[in-house]
Amino acid sequence: MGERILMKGNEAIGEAAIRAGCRYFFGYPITPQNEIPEYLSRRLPEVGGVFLQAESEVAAINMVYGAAGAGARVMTSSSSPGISLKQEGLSYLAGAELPCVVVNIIRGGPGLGGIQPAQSDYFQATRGGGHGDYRTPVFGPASIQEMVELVMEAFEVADRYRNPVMVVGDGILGQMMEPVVLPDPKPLDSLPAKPWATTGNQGRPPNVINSLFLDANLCSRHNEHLQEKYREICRREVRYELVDPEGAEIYFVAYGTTSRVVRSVMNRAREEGIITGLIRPITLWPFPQEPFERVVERAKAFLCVEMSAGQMVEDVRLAVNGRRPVHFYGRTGGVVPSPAEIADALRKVLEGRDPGA
Amino acid sequence: MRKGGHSSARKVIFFGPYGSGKTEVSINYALAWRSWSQRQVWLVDLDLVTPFFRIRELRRRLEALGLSVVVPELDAASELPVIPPRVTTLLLDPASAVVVDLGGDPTGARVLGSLAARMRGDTYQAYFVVNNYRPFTATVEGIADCLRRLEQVTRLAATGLVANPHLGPDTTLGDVLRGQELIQRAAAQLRLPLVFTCARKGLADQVKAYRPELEVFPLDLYIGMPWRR
Repeated sequence: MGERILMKGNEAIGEAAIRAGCRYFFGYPITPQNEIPEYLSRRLPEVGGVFLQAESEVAAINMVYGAAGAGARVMTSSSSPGISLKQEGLSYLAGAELPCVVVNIIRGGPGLGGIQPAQSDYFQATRGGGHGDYRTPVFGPASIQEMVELVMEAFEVADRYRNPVMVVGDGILGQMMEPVVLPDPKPLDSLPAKPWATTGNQGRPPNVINSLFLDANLCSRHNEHLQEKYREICRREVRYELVDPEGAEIYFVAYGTTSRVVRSVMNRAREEGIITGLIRPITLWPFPQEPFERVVERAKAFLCVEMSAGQMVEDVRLAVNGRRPVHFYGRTGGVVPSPAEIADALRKVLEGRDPGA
Repeated sequence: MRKGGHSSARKVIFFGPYGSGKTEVSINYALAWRSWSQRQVWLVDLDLVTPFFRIRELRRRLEALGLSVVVPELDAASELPVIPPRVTTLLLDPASAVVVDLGGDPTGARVLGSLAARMRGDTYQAYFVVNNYRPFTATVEGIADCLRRLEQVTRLAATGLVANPHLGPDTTLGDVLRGQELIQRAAAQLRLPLVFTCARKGLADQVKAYRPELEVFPLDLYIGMPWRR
């Protein structure tokens, strides 16, 4: 382990990818994630890797397909509108079972939207985004240190399941600086073997990377195989943080930047004698059911806070399944909810009122 | 900051890599200048590349503190690289007191290239802000390399280094002293003066107590995270 250095989230994503053994990056610029390609354009050549600015997001994601098919650890990054452009490629990657890491530094939408921080791509990230019955694990870090750890872990999960993995943040997480300790780089010869990759077929039958199954029964069998894989991911890869102090009645549910604001609200509320808990999903898919089971009996209500019009709250409602009231407070379009606004929402929930109203 | 330390140069440009602390240093420097001189001090937001954490978001607050703030004349959230009005006039006017917060890295600093050619060498100070805890300026060689890249695009020759060694809110006295020492060595190798060493208020006194010979510039921090507001 090295010494602490001060990094922007976007730079940390780049460095973490390199330390995870990623040597290929294909992307196209968009604010507020530009420091990722900028950092990698400087660092990848230093470690014998390739940085390539593609002609578009569509080209970039298909280059990812090629590199992943050849067995390389590969990453692309973008922000909301650019991630929309990559969806067809993501579906193909999932269909062909190719591991890669896709970073979305989410900005306010829909459409071109703005460049300010948002969490309004939750549906797109957790429901697949592209066509077909597929899923991608989604990590939502809340600090720069966690960003580093989860980006590195994303490459492991991607390889373990031969599946694209997404890491989502927003412009605050991308631009803010925090001290980090960078883990040692993974030796390239320690990365998992990929006997399925198209690496030249001397001495073995050709490997085929494809997502085309014209026979309905074969396509159905392929889908069943994918679904079994997704079920295994749900069993094994759920991550969350539960803050569960003695005496908590209201539980916040928040991830990423929003969870940071919520924590400061929780600290202030405690000074006024109001004790609250927090469920912070770290994997947005698979969504953590377990922390809800642990607290639902003693919880009075849940308050989900997002930088969206209410997306994760649907998963919260599924997890709570009608056993307790689930309230929502959100800001949209790039506005970060202030501690005062969230404290006000909490007050309303405590009084039995709807904070969204 | 030494009183009257820049009586000859009325333009002070802070430049450096991303995240070296140019914006906080610029704000504090302009306020200190305004405070001891009681004259009009212009603070120019010439960061056209960073999407957040910029002077333009603090404009009203800084104006209330007595600064004349110049920012790009479009919506604060605009991604368009628009040069703020009056910048050329201000930089070329010998009488105006101007502090410039330049964008980071060659990408952000490039904007000054077109203006600097018209500025006389004896009318400005160009201070290279260094935080040795940032990835590319952690060594003397790294600092020299960053400076060379920036001087090329800005067409400015640095007239001094500003040490801003920190790791965020949890910075310790030891962090500052270790960083200061490294940046001092870089300055010596580059044959440039180390103009001052920054530390946030509170820590600055400790640095001063420990190293009384140092020029220590205490910083009030103006750019906050949404959860600290």
